[in-house]
Amino acid sequence: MAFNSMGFLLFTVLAVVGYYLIPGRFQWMWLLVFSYLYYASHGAGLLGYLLFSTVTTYVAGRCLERIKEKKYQKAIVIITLILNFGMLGILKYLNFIILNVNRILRGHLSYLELVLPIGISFYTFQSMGYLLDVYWKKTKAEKNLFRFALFLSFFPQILQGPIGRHSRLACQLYERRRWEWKRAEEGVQRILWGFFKKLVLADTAAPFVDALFDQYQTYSGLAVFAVLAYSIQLYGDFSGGMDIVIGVGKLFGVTLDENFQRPYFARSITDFWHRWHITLGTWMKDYVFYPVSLSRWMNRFGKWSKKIFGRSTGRTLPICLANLIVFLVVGVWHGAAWKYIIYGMYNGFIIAFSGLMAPNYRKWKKICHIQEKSAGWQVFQILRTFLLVNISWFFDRADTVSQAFSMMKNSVTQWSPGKIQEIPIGQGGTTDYTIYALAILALGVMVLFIFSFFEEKGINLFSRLMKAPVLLRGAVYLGILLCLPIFSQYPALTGGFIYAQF
Amino acid sequence: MHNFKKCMGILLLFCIYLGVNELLTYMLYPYTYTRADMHHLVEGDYETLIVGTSHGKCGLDPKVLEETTGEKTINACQGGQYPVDSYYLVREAARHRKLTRVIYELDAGYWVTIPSQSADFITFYHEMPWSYVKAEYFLDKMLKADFRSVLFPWYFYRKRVTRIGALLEQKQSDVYKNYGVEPFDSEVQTYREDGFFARHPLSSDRLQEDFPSLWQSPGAREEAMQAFDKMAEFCEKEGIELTVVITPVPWVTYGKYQEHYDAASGFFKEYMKERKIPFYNYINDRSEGMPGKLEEFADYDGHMYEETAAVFSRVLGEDLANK
Repeated sequence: MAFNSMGFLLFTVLAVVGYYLIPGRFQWMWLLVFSYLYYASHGAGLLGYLLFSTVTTYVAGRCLERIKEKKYQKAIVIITLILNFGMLGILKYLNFIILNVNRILRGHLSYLELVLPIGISFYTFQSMGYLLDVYWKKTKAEKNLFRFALFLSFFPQILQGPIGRHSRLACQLYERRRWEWKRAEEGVQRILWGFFKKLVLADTAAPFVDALFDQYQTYSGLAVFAVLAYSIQLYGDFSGGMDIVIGVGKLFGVTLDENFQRPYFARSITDFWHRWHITLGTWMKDYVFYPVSLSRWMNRFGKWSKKIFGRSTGRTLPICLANLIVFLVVGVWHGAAWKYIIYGMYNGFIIAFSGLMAPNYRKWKKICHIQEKSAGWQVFQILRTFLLVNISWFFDRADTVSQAFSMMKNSVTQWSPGKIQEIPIGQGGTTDYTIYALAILALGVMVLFIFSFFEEKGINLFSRLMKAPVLLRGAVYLGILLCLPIFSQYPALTGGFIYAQF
Repeated sequence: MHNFKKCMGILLLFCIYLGVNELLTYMLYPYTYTRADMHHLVEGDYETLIVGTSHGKCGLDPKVLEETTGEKTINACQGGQYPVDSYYLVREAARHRKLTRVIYELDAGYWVTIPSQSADFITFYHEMPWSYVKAEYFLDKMLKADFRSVLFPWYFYRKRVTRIGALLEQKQSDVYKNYGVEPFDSEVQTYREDGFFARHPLSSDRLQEDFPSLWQSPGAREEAMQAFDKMAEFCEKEGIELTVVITPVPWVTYGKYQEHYDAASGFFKEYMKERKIPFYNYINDRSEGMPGKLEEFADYDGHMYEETAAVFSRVLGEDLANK
């Protein structure tokens, strides 16, 4: 049941209506039933994996509170981590490992027919985050198995996040609530905005991206356009999906963590990762970066590097190393392919390099009299970061690493923008619709830019709209609703949500 | 009072949406032959119903079949009709008429592909009158569809905005109001009230080799089999004889894709045998009089000319009568 299916809309309406009609003490149970029904709609067999993660993490959490001895607690955490990440690893990466073992050893190990349960990367990270929070006493273990099951399975977020934290999410799910018009309107706003991003922006960019990446040799002079279109598609798709998730959450009175904050306004790659897939970034920071940075061996490495490279560099090196490890994990999280590992390491290297070069940058800026807050410098930083991010998108979208490098090379050696009109966008492989689609894309990007620009300045246009007369608001919502069928691509030409495959 | 006002506001907004949507549907959604077919399905006088795809639409002539079987027949086939659509058309027809036979024209390509959400995807649902059958159809098919396909039926035709004037004129005409079939006639075809498309030869026919939708690995999709099984079950329960037919394709096409056609034939032979459903496969029938020469078809895919369809329908009719 994809977010843009009729079934999801009706399912949500039914869930919301029932939620506010039943007595408050049953509300969380209602949500649990609907969450499991929703997950089961993607295949009842997939419930087993979710139940496994739920039960093992719940039991481990309860044991951690009861058992006081540190060494046993540690053992429980390690076993649960191995069980859950092991399941994720086998399902997601085993065939990739077999492929590489076969390549290296010229072996003939056969691949396994494994079904990757949708959303597994998200709920595994959420459950393991909870486990570590309980272990580090940042949150209390959930006593009720069913309540915990709801925390892991809350239906709007189970397929593509955001990765929730127990301390912020759980209490909201169990709270008794009454219908609030304002909150509902905010939810509807987010849902409409999310559909606009997905259906008008991402889905219009999708056929261009597919054509340009799948036939990159034919369209070699359009590599720059390919990656720009992909940057629009990916952002529209993922952040649009998040808007829908957060909007649906709001209908139940649940405020989910934001996953995006205008990432293309980022001024550095570090800043970009504070704005893009925020909940994955903070998860990595809390559960990978800090444990690695504060580990004993890293401490030893820090002391050694200070001796060799001096105080300043020696202090930065362990942070750089921890960042590299974090982004290696980020790359692996994205998928079982070398291109994702390179994608992660590329980001890690830039952040590590920036960290090492930070003192020099400061000196150079002083010498060149660059004002940190000047508009020109800020625009330069944004454009530089956007360029660096787009380079990483080549790895993310291309089928192979060699394709990514080839397209990167094409983007600087070949240029034939006129060929863009030859990309068949219409049904039946015609080019009748190509110019129209490009115009929609340009218009959509402009609308998104205006909204994002104001948000960056602290002005939320949707919040402003809430203060407008009801008739005007209604007209705006109706207008957005009608924009969806008028300016979007036909579903036959586009796919589902990209991040729903994780 | 505050809540009442809010509710009224939402109701007003909803009414405006419905109004605008209906207006756009009226202005943009064209007069399709599905509408005419559906009208004849509800109002027509028939005992045998033909469902299936475009091959059936121009390959199975109800008039000729009627002459041989003696049963009044109607053709409700259409390009883009998947087994799930056929099933609900049979259900809808059975609501209005006492059916004795359903002929299901089977195109293997439709069993292995996911229905593409284009205009054909919604047409049967859109034209079907409101009933519990339509409600079931909605739950079975439209619930999985993109919400735009369901809520905004006009959006598949949004590019026809320049032809609104002509469409409005057509919709106000008696032909539209009386479900006339004249608008569908052209140099290529004559449309008949019994739902048959009589294809006429054109000099531009077969200039380009087209690619038929073929049987592919991993085989029939679960949804297609489920829908067909439901149709078979329904027919059995209602005492309707279900007959499955695969129409012939040009021999040259068969020769080129023999592997696919043979695999499909093997699968369906076994499938129908298990369900004890009469199955007539003419895909490579080279018996005398059976169409197969390329000139007898409008294209490589196997859409028959009117004369070819008459010959084939007679053979089929005799086979059905003599079984």
